[in-house]
Amino acid sequence: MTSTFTQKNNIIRFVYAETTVAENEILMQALLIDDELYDFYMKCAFTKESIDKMEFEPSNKCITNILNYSKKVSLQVAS
Amino acid sequence: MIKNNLSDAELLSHYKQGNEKAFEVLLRRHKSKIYSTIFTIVKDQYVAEDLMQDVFIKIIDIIRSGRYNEEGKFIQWASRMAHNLAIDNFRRNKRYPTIVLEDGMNVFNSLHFAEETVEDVRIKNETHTSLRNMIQTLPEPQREVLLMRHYAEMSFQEIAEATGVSINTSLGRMRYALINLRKLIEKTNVAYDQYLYAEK
Repeated sequence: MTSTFTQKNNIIRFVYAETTVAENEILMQALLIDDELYDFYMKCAFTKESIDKMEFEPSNKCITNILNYSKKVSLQVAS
Repeated sequence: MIKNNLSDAELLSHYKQGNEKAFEVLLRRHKSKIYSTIFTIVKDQYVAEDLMQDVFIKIIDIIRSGRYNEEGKFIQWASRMAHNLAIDNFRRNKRYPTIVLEDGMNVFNSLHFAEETVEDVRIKNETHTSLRNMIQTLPEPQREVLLMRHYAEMSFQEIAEATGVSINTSLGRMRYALINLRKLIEKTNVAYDQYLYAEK
């Protein structure tokens, strides 16, 4: 019998796609019969998705500065 | 001509041979992830952009001097460097700075959105800011594992090794990070369901 602690850690690995196909089968079965585990899975998946959607962009100036630096270094290497 | 579908390793190989376009593709591919890693920690656009440039100066110098270790993924290496620089900066300042952005009004102009109304953008900005602030309130070990997993794309095993703990500790920290964030989301009742999960 797998402990709740281990099951929840496995769910975290499952949410982040780090489980094997065989583990997925076992976890899917567990989720079908364990309401508390299912609720935990849904909350984790929801929160992960929220974080995934939070992305920021640097300014074009920042990107241009980096590209210019790279070109400068390339010229130094070539000369 | 460099194709966008080349792998990071292939782009790095072209770049080492002097192809600047390959580097540009690599930079544009990973800029959001690396910048987000930094910005989520320092919360200041100017500082984040300075650190972003510092990270890439280091990256360029390491690659150009032939010291880049091709084992492992580029994004993990770069994000880890970004994370460490941002943490160093935070520790030097000993506080989280007030959000400082270009025009004072458009506080969230660094967020990336496409084909949305002004109102959509405003609400998403508020939602993302709220979530980012919630992440800041997590205990450092939880915040660290969350940022490493999301932005550095490190596996839990890799995070465990990098932070010197067992994988179970690493998973436990992530578990508490997600549970705590979820509680904060429920408490503040921000508009996640409506705006983050709307199908485009």
